[in-house]
Amino acid sequence: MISSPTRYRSILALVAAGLILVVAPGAFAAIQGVTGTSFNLVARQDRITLGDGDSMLMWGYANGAGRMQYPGPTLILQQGVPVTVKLTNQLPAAAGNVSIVFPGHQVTAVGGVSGVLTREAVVGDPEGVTYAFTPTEPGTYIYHSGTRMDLQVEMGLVGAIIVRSTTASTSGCPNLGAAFNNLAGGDPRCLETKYAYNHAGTGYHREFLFFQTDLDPKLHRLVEFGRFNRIDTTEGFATCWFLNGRNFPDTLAEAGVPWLPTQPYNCSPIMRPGETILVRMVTATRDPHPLHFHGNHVRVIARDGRMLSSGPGNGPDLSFENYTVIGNPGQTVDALFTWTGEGMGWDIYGHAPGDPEQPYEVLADHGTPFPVVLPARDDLVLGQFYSGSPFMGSQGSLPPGHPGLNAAGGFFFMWHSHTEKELSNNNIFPGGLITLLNVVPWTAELPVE
Amino acid sequence: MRSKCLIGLQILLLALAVSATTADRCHGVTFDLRVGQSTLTMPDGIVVTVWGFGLANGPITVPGPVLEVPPGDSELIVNLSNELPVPVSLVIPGLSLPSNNAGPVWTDWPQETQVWTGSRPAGNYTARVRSFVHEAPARVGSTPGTATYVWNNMKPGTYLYQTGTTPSSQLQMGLYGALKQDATAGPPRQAYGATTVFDREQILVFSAIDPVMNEAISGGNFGPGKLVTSTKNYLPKYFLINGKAWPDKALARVNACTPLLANERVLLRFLNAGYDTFVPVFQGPYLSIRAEDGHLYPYFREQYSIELAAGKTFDAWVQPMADGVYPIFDRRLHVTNAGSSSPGGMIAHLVVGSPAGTDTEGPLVTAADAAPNPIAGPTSVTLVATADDVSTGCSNIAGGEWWIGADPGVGSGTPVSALDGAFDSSVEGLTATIDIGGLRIGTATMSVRARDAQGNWGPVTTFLLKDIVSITSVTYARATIQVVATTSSSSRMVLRSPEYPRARFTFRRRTNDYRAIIRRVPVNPGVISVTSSGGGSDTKPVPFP
Repeated sequence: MISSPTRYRSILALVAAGLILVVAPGAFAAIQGVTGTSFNLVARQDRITLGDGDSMLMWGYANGAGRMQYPGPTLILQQGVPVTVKLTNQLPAAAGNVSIVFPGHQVTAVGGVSGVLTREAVVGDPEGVTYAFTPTEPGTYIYHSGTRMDLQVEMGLVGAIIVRSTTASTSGCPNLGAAFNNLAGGDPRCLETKYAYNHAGTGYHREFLFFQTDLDPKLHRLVEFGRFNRIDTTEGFATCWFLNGRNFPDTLAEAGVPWLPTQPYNCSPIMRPGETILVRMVTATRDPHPLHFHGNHVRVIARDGRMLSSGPGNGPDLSFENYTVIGNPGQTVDALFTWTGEGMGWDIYGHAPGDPEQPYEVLADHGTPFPVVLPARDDLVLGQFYSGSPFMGSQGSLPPGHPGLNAAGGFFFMWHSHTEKELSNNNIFPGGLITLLNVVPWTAELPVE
Repeated sequence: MRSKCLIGLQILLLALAVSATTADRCHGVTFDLRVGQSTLTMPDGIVVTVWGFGLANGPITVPGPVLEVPPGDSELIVNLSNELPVPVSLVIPGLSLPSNNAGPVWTDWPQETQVWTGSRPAGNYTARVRSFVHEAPARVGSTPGTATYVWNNMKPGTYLYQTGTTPSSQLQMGLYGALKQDATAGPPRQAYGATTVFDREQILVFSAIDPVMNEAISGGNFGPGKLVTSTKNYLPKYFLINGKAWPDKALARVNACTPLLANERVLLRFLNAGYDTFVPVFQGPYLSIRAEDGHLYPYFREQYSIELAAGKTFDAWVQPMADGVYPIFDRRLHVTNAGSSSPGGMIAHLVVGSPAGTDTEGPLVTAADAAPNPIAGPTSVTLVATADDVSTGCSNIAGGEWWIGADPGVGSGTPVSALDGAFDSSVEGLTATIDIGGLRIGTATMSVRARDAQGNWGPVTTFLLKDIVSITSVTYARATIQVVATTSSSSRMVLRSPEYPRARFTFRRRTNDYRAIIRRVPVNPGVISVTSSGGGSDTKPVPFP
């Protein structure tokens, strides 16, 4: 086989319709959002593009003068630092008032008019409503409209909040124990360990948002055509499912691509063996979407922004492993995930016994041969993410016409809703609530978080 | 309720504060529950027929009265008195009935002409279970069917009591309520033990209504071969907390009868009597979820939301630190009344501080009707209504009055009596005997209002004495429906068919009935309904030629 270190950057731009586009380094990992202590959100009407090419009318939150986006801007806050969120309403008059509720936070609202759940911004009122709160605890949270929620949440007035803990990051490399080829503590390749909550048991190297929504096109068309008297949300029937506002395969396109101007966030988790990633799940819809980790297990450490803990100082000692995680409507779930190839029973790098070990390689499998004889290349039907080799970090020959989407020789795992009908875009499979985790070798170049 | 403990106990309706005392050597408590029909009026004015529970001689409510078993009692006895035309039974998920109370009851479904109890009848592979436990039979004439249920395994917790008979139809009709037992009566009160000390509690029963189902089930049109064959197409339109949908006043201050002060420890008891999962979100401090299905957690869960699946109960502890309004809403977004654009459904406000002050509002009268109604002709009827001051100041009901036609002025109507004989609660059944000789059925408007102990008269509730409409003949041939109907009222009624609003019914003096000929009906519609301006209606299948 041919082994070659590769650059990873050029891969994802190929995904959407095979277009080759300019790639902004560092834009495809981590969680995008807006930081600060004073936010200016504007409710606006705009359109999004569905995975089947359809265009859908939406209401959503825009960051200041920007376009409406779906979901709304992810607010990245610091634990203990008070914030204000000003909301003004530039929706069409027929949309009526709009507001924001912040479940889990104790909010004071000033301005606007009083509503059932909070104060509301009237269409066209430049003063709007200002919400103020202090995020006292770190974690993952949701915000959404508190006005005519059955329609406005469906229309897209939803967003995520991330509250960073006050625990400082630590440097050094993970030590997974004697069974692995751990990197030396000072190896410059290792990322800092960040802490989701204020406990050592919540450390992670990379984080990804899984903001789950769905959509019933019928309701959006009734809004678009002004047929508000025909809207009955008790009969809603979703046919499109989203991660971070995009249907698969758009979930894999880079963040901020120009052809999805109102869907700036992607959902494309990537990691190196031995690293720990934090999966921040938010369910914004009226139905749960059981997120399945397909051949893997995650450790659930928090729900609704609170560590699963038996008591102060005990850390996430009530955490548990799942291969499918249910976030109930309006809930958030945080889970940690790590991957080494442990238990495969063969050397995932295809080493000969005397070859040097890769970082975090499972020592017991080093040099253990691949257990089957692969058929000849042209006897196989190759998936788009097959590198030409079954071994991590390796390439093999690919037939003419293969898109070659796995330039790093990574291992791809499909992470998706286990409500299988949600893996479609308006009845077209595959689509919907799917993304791919890419585990790439340490030889691949990845953006620093 | 009768307690063998022979101590003062309080029976609580809906969501009243509790301060029962405890005593050693308590062994049992007995509730006499009636099962009957009533109505709920939704915020958009739709009146839904429901079945519910009531205490002996008390009004039928949905949910039923809160049954509180005193701390320490190990035995619970319920005497059921069934006024419905179908058999019912009683189960409490989480508390098994001893074998002498168990069924199941089998029938030769769907005819239901034969009944077996216990094991499946030998050799019979077509019998179906109708009830999980033994039944209180349907009423015969005006005599209710009765049954007694004995639980000897009571333990502290929050439970749902509900019908155990064809729950797929009867439960959604409203046959459910909350049952609770505390560990100690305090003070301070403990729900399960030392880790669940609380000062106040609020019961929140979640449920939903599909009005199509309620109409079919109460009208005898539900089941195989009937208009609505099953709950397969259950599609709820109204979403209730404690039997009410926002913006009902009872939810604008859901703790109207439980004044809360800042820093008080509040136990919220969540119950789901519906068929779907609801996810209540509490907007305020985090809930500390401390028990599920009547079982105390070893470690508590800090969440702002609860996965409240059908049939489950959760006890959540919260301590609001400041005066204010703390909303509760269903995050599955059942926050509309049948698609209304204004907020509806499962929204409630828990109000802390700002005491309600003196009661200046009179009680509401709900579920007002006559028995029998519809009726055939001049006779006397019994007024049935419920006076409810829970959302209007929470004083006791002190009286009420009725009249026919124009309002005679406050206090000038004919007095009503308390159904249970004494006006001593904030929710009372009202009753009166009304001579309707000389009235024309279908045009007589009956009015009721009630007064609370503070002397406040409430708003007027009216209803109509309805005529009996009967479709006597319906045929379908050559794309034409001919339908003949009668009413128990006079020839001056206006009959219509909701399916064919342009069809004209003409009165035929010779046969004393009404006939409509509906042409250009290319497909047999299956059923046809006729409604009268007198309020009555009938529905019949349309036969094929």
